[in-house]
Amino acid sequence: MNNLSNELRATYQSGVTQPIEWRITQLNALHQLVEENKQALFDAVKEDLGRCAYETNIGELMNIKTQIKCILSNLRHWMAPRSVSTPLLHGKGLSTSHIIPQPLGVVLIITPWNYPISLPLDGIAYVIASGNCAVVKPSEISERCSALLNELIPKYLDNNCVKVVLGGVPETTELLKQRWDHILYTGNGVVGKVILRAAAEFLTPTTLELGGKSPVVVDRNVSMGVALKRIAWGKFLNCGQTCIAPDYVLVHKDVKDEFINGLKDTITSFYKDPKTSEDYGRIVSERHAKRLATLLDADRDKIIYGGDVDLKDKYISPTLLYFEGDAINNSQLMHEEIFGPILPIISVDSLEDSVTFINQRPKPLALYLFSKDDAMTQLFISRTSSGGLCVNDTLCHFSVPDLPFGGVGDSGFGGYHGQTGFDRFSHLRAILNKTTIIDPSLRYPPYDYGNVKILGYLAP
Amino acid sequence: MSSKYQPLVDNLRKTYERKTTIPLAWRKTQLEVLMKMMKEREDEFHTALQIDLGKGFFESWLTETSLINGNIQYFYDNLEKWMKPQEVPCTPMLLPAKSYVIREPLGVILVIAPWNYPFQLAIVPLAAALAAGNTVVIKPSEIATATSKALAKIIPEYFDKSVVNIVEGGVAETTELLKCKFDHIFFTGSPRVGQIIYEAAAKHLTPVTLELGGKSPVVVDETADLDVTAKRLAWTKFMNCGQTCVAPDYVLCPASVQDKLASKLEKAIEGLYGKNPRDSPDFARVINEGMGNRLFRMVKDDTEKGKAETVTGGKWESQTRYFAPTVLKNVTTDSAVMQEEIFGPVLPILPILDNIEDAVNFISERPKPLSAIIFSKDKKNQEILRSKTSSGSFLINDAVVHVSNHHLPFGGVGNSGIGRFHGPYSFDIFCNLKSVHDNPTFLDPSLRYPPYTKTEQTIIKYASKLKAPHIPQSLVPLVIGVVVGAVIVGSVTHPGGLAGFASQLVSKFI
Repeated sequence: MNNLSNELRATYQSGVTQPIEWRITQLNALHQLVEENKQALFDAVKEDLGRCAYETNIGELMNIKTQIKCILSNLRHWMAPRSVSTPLLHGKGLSTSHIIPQPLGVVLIITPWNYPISLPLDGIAYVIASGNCAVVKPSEISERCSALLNELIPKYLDNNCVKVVLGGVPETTELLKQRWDHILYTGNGVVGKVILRAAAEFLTPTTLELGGKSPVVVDRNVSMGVALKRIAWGKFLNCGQTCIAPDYVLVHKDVKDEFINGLKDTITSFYKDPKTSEDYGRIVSERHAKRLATLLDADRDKIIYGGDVDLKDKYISPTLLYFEGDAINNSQLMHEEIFGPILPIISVDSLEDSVTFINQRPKPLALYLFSKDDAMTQLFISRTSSGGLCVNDTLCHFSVPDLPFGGVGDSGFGGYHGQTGFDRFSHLRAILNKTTIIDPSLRYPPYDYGNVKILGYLAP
Repeated sequence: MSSKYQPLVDNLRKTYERKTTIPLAWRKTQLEVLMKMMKEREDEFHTALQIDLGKGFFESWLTETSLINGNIQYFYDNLEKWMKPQEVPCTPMLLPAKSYVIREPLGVILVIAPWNYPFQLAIVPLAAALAAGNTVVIKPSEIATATSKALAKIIPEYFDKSVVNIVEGGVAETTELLKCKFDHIFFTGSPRVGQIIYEAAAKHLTPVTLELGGKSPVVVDETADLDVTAKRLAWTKFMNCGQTCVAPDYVLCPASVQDKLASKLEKAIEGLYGKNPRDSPDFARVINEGMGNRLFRMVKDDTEKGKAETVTGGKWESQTRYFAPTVLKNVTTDSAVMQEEIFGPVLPILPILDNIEDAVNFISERPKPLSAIIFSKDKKNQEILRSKTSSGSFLINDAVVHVSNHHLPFGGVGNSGIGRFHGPYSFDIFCNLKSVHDNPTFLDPSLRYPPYTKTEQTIIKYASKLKAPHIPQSLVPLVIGVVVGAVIVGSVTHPGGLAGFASQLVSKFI
């Protein structure tokens, strides 16, 4: 593994990843990998995360296929030279100016355990679409899925250009000692800083997809039925272990009771008995479940629904807590990203208060507003900041391929998906092809100061 | 890790948090104030540039003031358009939701400016950051002392400390500043310091734009028009006394071209600056004695050791900081001038080009440069060099001038930098591109929610196989109308009616 990046760089320099035909072949192969191994992928996710096949299908496999489709239908266009105008001074009409996207070289992709199939493959799709070689280091925590990818990727993709490295901290540390042309990291902020420091050594650009606490705001003017379903769905999908999962709810006091009662009913309608429901997942490991159980124990008196824990089964039931007034500030639940099926609900007096609450805290990866009031919605969008935002829904902006997906501030930087994703792993090279037919002398010394006005008209 | 500048940064962040910087009107006002400042104080800035770099008025105007004014105007003219939501097509499965991207401010920006274009590389990022709705700290270069003083004096006369702040100083002050959290750091300077900035930014997960440098190679082949080549090469090399990040650093040419090129360069230099460039008002000075001594030592070492021969120039006068425009030929790859970015008025020629592949190999073996240049009439050679090398920018038959085209992104790759600047790129780096998904509530298919029934699983299985295209939001009603119309017509005209038409569709699309 010592010289993996050099090995792949040599392959990249041979030019094999440049032609569009190679990229299309790889993307089609990636699509096939997903299509032909669905059951194996479902089983691996079930084993690692206890997540049902239906959710793996809509939450992971369909997303990868959507991204690949988007790339395939746009790749030729994205790869083409982008013509821009040339100023008069530099021979507009005779000279030409273009932006040509070129691959960077070798990209390192480090992915987490919560979407252990789509995050590695999503990253690979965009990295190879931009003509790079890739090394993917999937999470050691989602063991079965990573082992399966390690088996399938060499079977479908070009072995010389895409490699999988299995392992944990020691292996990642070794990888980070090497020079990469870009690093795509999805995970938490603590490790994000480590990645960034390692990248700084080689001036390697990075994309950090981190996390944070993604708030949901429920206005008093709201389509309650739809809001309840979409919030419950977004929260409890993958047992709350989604980077953009609704973390906590700020509900207007006028609809608080309707919301809470409605949410209890909605959860019951989804899972009846979550412990035995096929549709309800598990926490990834006993250690993670213990962390969540500890959070619950500290605020047992605030639990209004659920709260059942079975550590051996890595089971935490869908749980709601209610906080009145300032009580929320003392809760540990507000000091870390929950990343589990625990939903604190906080009552607010107005939408204004929710904006203040949100702005006092680090910028989240996602923000969700449920409201029927267009004017309030626009105000809310302009007065808060987040990586992404959904109005009257949760999570879905991730599956719109033309929306760049990423964070801001503590939730990360650099987005990818769609053309943003293609450009992210490319170098946008500026090309000026200058005519030699004309060469106005007023450009050169000795400078005639009277020419300043003329140049002012010709220059941009 | 508290910093003495924390209160200053906190004050700037308060302005951002109050959301006063968001409206278009506020941002336009800031740009208008900048335009006013430029108009009223231009002379003082030109004087400072004369003191720091010995730059004459024309070159200062051409390479600093006019670029600043042009950029501010460009931001001003396009700001309203850039601030509008940018609609994107929504995934067919998620229709009729609306998807768009909006650009919102990041917060507090730190601009660390270099000494070579000390005015432009402070004010243009300032203008872009303000246009994007941020507040700003500028740390001008302590090496360009007169410009730093001018900025520190003039900017507070136009901008309140709660919007723009200047922090003067060197390494100690920069280190102190970097203890604070910024929302973006824009740094122009050397790769070595770029690494330090990047590491400091990592502690706060702060994104950075690093405009660095490197050795920008020039390839001159047998087909080049040597008269035009010599003139353009000489001007772009020796402007600002060679202290330009995208300046031609060295030349690769065939042995057969070297002498002709060298002699034309000598003539071109005389054409630009006269027989004695020291007396030309158009030829600048080296920034300080230390930099001049460095250049002089390199040239002396190389010529004494037979690693280079002087064609013209070589003179260094430390008192006036005059370094003559210098051309060296028969330069070897192990010469001192080839080991680091020259950043001065010394142009080495290496006559080692047998064919274009030699140039490709030579350039590819070295860190990716900020700019790569070819003087050639051979389209094949141009294309080979362009496609087989990587650099921030690539120029054919010219150098440097692409920086004045707003539509071309400016920046490096690999060791020469991270991020893009100029035109709309300037705006984007100082924004958060927020993705917005707006889903109406009138349509809410139950197959999305648990419990996931067997029927729903079958539907999803087939739906995922649909080869549906991407449809822009504005066309959705039209598309729905066309689809419904097609289904009606298809059902009416198909012999099997609706059922027959539907099964034919299924077999076609799944």
